[in-house]
Amino acid sequence: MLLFYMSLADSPGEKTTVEQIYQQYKKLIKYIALSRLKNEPLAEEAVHEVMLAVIVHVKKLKDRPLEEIKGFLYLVTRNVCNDILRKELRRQTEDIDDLWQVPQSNGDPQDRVGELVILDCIAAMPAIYRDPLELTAYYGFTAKEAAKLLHISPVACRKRLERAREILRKQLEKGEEPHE
Amino acid sequence: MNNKQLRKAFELYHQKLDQTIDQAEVEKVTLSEEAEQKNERLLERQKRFYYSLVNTAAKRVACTVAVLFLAVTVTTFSVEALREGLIHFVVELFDQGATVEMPGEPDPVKPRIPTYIPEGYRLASHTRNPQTDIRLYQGRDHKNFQFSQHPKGTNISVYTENTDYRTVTVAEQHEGILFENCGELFLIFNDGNYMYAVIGTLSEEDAMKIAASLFETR
Repeated sequence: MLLFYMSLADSPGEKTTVEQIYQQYKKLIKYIALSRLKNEPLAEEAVHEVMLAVIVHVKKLKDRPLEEIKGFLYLVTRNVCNDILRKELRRQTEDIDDLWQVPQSNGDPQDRVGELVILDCIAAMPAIYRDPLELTAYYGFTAKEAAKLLHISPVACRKRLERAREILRKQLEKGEEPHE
Repeated sequence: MNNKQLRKAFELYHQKLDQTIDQAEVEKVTLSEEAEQKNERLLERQKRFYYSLVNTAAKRVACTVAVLFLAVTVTTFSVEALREGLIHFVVELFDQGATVEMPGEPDPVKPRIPTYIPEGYRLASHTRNPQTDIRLYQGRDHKNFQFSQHPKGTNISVYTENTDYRTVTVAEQHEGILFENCGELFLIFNDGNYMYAVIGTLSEEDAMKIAASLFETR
């Protein structure tokens, strides 16, 4: 029976990744949480919740450099804070995108390469559409896994993904229209 | 737009997001000692080989049920210290765990419900079949515990690595064993008819009260 359980064990590498993430980013996670929650105990609860999410999804993260995992932590921390606020205040809260506005890229519109156009679309997109897109397109989560992380149903997640891609497509089409 | 462009755009997005954070302010942030200890305990627990099987309450219930249904015929040996006195448990110890068995012919479980539930906990789920009755209670701050009832002839496997168990008496008459492991309390006892288990994040006092409440006469 023990052997059966041990055969399902996670690899030592995954456990080390979790520790590395915690030691490197615990202050950042708490900083993000504090900025939103404005409450020390709740911010520390958020740190714990974020680490739980990291442990559950470490398989998706373990092969990535630590720097790339930062984006995942921003996303998860934001969603955890929203969950905590909803629980504490029992009301729908607005997303915390307004805290850090990513500036749009500069440069002559005619010189903008595809990635910069997409970057602007992503930065301007509401987080409820951007998050599922980021989890699936960048971190390789399935729609079902992303739904679980975001605490939404798989159907809602797929709909938001479709909407995100539709927003991107429309923005790109606008960007490709000849400028006067 | 292709996926490669999309991924690159997200990379750029993360870089820009990073630039908007004041790193000097981040460095000033500290976590309280309590928070650090809580997270360190979590990091220790996730190192355990069985963590992925028991990291949620639902999985713990599933594991307990799976162990019961996968009960292997093991050669049990009696621990003399436990055989003496009034203990009717058979406990087999192995490197990292123990199997607690109540010998006898099984009768279908007639559920007994604890009348004492610690404040802040509520019944979250109830799983029942002739071989077992399991109630899962959830409290605040991710605390939870399960109360289960099992007929004779079944066994419960528990992880006892780096911990010692001791014998206790429930309601001044029923023998049991109690130990803590990885922040969870395990209380297993029997009344001669069934074996019961209280397992979870709760105090010893509450666990004993829950157990004793099964035998209160009204």
